[in-house]
Amino acid sequence: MSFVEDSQNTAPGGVPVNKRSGAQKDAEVGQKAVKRLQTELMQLMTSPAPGVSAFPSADGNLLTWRATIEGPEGTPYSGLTLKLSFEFPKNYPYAPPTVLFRTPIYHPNFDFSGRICLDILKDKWTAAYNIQTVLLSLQSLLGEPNNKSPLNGEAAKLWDQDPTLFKTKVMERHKDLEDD
Amino acid sequence: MPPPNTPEEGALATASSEPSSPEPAPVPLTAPNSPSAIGFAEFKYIFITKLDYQAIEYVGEVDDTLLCPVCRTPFISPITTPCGHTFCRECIDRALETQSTCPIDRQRIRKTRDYHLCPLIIKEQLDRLMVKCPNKGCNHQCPREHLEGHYKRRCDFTLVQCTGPDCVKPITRRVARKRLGGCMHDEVDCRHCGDKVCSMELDSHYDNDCMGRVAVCSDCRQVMPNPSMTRHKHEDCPKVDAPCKWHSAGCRVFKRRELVKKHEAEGCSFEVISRMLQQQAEDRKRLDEMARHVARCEERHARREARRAARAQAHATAHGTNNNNDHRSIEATHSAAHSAEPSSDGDGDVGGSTEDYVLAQFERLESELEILRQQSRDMDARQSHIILQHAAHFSDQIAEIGSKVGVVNMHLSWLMSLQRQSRSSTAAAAIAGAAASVASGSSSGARPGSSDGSGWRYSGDDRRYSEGGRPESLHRL
Repeated sequence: MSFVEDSQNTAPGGVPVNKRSGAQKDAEVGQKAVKRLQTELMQLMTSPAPGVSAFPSADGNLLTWRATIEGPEGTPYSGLTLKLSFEFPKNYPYAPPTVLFRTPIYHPNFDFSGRICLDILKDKWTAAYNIQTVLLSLQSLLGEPNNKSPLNGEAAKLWDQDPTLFKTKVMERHKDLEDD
Repeated sequence: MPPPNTPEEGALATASSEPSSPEPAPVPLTAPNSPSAIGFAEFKYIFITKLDYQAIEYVGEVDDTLLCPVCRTPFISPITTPCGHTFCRECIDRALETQSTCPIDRQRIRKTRDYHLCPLIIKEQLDRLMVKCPNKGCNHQCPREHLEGHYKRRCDFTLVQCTGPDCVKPITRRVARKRLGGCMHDEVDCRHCGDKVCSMELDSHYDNDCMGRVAVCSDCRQVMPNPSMTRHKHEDCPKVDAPCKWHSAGCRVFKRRELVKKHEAEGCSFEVISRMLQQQAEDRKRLDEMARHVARCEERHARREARRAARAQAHATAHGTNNNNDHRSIEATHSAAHSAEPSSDGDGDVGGSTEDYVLAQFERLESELEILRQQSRDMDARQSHIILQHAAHFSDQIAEIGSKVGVVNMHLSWLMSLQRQSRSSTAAAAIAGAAASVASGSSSGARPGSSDGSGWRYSGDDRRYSEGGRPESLHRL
C-alpha cells in the first residue's frame, strides 16, 4: 500500500517536496540515528546487561554517550570501573561510533590516550551492532586481549610473560574518575 | 482495502479548493444515499504529513524476534536475505550502501537482486501488532494493518491542508470539516470581546480565553466570564459538593462547599492527623537521606580499603621480583611504597573520620537530649513552687475570710440575745404600764425613722433608742 504523497499536489503554493534538498536528507538521516538511539536507551534501561551501563551525556545531545564497564572477575581488571565515551555519527547505525576509554587503562589493545583497536569498531562494523554489544565485546576483550595486533606492545608482551607485573602496571595506571 | 463508501485513495490527495487549478472544480463527493458519507470523506483533503511507521508507538511488549536488527523497531515492509535474515527494506538498502554483506553474518548480498519475500507468517504477525494512532489528541488503537486506513480516512486529528484558497498551513481534519471554504487562519473579531482570533481557534477561544462572554453558574447563580466557570466550579462555588481539606487524612466529610468551609473553620479532627502524617513523611525522607549517606560513606570506605590492600599486595610482589636486581630499583619501590603509604593512611583516616563523625553526631544528640531533660526537670520544679506560693496566698485569704465570718457570727448571736432580752423586758413593761406606753405613743411615733437609720451603729445612745423604739415601730407596722 503506497502512501499518497502530497508531492502529487499540483495546486500553486502547495508544499514543494518533489526534490529533497541535501540538507533535508541529512536532517532526516540524523533523525533516524536519534530514533535508533532512543530505542537503544529504552532497551538498555528495561533490560540492562550485567557489568555494563550507558547513558546519554548530560548536555541532552543524544549523539554523545557516557558508558561504564565493570572489570570482569578473574582478569587483572576485576573490581575496577572503566569509563568510556561514545560519539555517534549522523548516519549511525550504518557507520560505527567513536569509542574512547576515558579512564586511563593498561591493555594490549588500548593506547594511553584511550583509543581502541577493535575490528568491529572499524571495518568489521555492521548495522546490527549496538551500544550493548559493543560494550560486551570490550568487556570480553579485557579478559582476552588480541595480542596479534597490539596498540601497546609492552602490555602484549607482559600479558604472556609476567602476569603479576602486568597486574601491577594495571593498578598503577588506573585512576578513578569523578563523574562529570 | 477502502470501505465501499469512501473515495479512492488517489482522490484523497488531489487538490481540493483551488478554483484556478486545472483539476476539476472542488465538488464535494457527496453520496446522498450512504450513511457513512456524513461523518467523513465528503471532501478531498490534501495531506500534509505522511504516516511514519518508524515513529509509531506499539501497545505492550513486542516480541524480540519481530524487531529489525538495524533499526530495533518492528519490521516495516520486511524482506529476507539469502542467508535467512530478515530486515526492513529501507534498513537493508541503506546498510548495503556502505558494505555489501549481511549485517548479521557478513555473507555477500547483492542489493535488491538477492532479496527474498519475507515469509507471510511474519507479515501476519506484524499486521496483528496493536499500535496507537500517532496523531496528537487521538487515542485510537488498532492492529497495525488498519492504521493506514484510520490515519487517512477516519482520524479526526490527521493534518490536512487548510481550506483557504491560498493557504498551505496545516489544520486538523476535524477543523477542516467544520467550515468548508475560507481560510482557517484568517483572523476574525470575536463577537463577545472584540479580540482578534484565528477562526480555527474560535471555539477554544470561547471556552478558554474570551472574557466578554458571560455565563451563569448553574449552582449558585453567580454571573462571570465563561472561562472562569471551570475554576469557579472546582474551587469557589459554595453550592458545589466538595471534600474536606483534610480528606487525604481520612475525613469523610463531603458536602456543599459552604458547609465544608464551616466544618473546616470549626476544626476538623483530621487536621491533627494530617499534620502528623506530613511530619512523619518529612522525617522518613530525612531518615532515608541519612541512610543513603551512610551507605555511600560505607561504600567509599570499603573501596578505599580494597584499593589499599591491592596496592600493598602489588608493592609486596614488586618488591619480591626486584629483590634480585640492583639496589636502586629496590629503593625506588621503597620510596614508592612510602609515598603511597601516607596517602593510603590518609584515605583510611578519611574513612575512619566518617564513622567518627557519625558517632560524634550521635553523642552530641545524646548530650543535647540530656540537657533538655535537665531543663524540663528544672522547669517542673519552678512551676510547682509558683503554684505552691499562689496556694499559700489563697489559704491566707481564706483564713482571713473565715475569721471575719466568725466575727459577724458573734455579732449576730449577740444581737439575737439582745433582742430576746428586750422582748422579755417589753413584755414585762406591757404588763406593768400599758397605759403609759399609750400616752407616750405620739412622741415615739415621730422617732422610728431616726432609730431605723442609726439602730445598727452600736453607739450607746442609739442602743437605748432602739431598746425603746424598735418594738414600738414593729408593733405599728
